[in-house]
Amino acid sequence: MALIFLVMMIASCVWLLFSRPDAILATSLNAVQESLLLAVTLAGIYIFWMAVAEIATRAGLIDKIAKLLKKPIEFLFGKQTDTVNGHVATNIAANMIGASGAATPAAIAAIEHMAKPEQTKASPPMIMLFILAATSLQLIPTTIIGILQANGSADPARIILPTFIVSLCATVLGVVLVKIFCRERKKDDY
Amino acid sequence: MALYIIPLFIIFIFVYAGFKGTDTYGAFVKGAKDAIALIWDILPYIVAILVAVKLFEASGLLMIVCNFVAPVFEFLGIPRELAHFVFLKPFSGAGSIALYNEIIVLYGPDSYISRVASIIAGSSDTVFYIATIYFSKTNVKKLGLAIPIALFCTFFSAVLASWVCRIF
Repeated sequence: MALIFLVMMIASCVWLLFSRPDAILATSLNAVQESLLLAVTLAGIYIFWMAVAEIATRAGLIDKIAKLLKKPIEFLFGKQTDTVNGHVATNIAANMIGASGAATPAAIAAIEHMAKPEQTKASPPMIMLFILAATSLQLIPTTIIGILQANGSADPARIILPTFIVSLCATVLGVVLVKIFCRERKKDDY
Repeated sequence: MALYIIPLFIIFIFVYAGFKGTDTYGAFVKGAKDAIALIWDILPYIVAILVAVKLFEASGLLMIVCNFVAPVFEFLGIPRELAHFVFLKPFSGAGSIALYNEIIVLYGPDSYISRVASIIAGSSDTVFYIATIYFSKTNVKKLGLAIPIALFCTFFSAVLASWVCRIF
C-alpha cells in the first residue's frame, strides 16, 4: 500500500504541475474535507451495527451460530481443537452479517492457535480461513445497506439477495481451489 | 419483503437478548464505543487514500489507466466506470469504502453501476489487509497460494456481480 500511495502521489502531482499546478492543493484539501464527511456517515453506520452486534454476541447468538456451523467447519478445516473451532465459527458468523470488527480478532486468535511456534509456512486450514474471509459470505451486508440508505436509495435491501448469491459462488470457488491446490502432507494425518 | 428483513433482524436480536436477560443497554454502549474507536483508527487511512485518488483523478492519469484496462474489463462484463474500484479493493478497505461512496453519489444509489459496486463492496474483503492482520500474531510468512486464490476469487465475484445485476 505504501508503494502504491507514493507512486500515485508523485505521478499525479508531477502530471498536474505541468497542466494545472493550482489544482494540487485545492484538490487535496477538498479530498480531506470529503473524508471527514464520509467518516461521519460511516460512524453512524458502524456505531449502530456494532452496538447491535455486541448485544447479539453477549446474548449468545454468535455462539448459537457457531454450534450450527460445527459440521461444515469440520469438513472445511479437519479436526481442530474446540478453541480453534469457536474462533473460526465466530469469524464466519460475524463476517456473514458484515461485522468485520468482530470477525478480525476471532480470526487472529484462530490462526494463532493453529500455528506451531516455529511455523513459517501457512497450513491449509489457515489458508482456508483466510480465503473464507476474503470471499466473505454475506447474509446481510449491513455497511453497504447503510451507505445506500444514507444516499437516498429507494430500496436498499434489494442488494441483499444478489450479494448473497455472488458471495456464495465466490466462497464455493475459493473452497474448491483451496481443497485442490493446498494439501496437507500425508504423514500429518496419522 | 426485502423491506422487512432488516427491521425484523433488529427486533429479533433485541427480543432474543431480552429473553436471555442480557444487559442490552451496557452491550449497546460498549459496541458503540468500539465503533467510535474503529472510526478514529481508520479515518487517517480514508484521508490518505482519498487525497491520493482525487489527485490521481484530477491529473487525468486515472482516465489513462482506466482506458487501458477497460476493454479487458468490459469484455468480461465489468462496467468501465468501476475499473479503478475493482483495482483498489484488494489493497485498502477504508479506501474502497471511500471510493464506493463516491460512486453511489455520482451515479445515484439505484443505478446499475451502483448496484454492481454495492455487491463488489459487500461480497469481498480487503485481501492484502487481512493477509497482514490475520497472521500478525504468528511467525507465518509464507502464504503459498493464499493470495493468488483470494485475488482470483474476488475478481471472479466482480465479474459475476456485473452479470447478476442485469437480472436483478
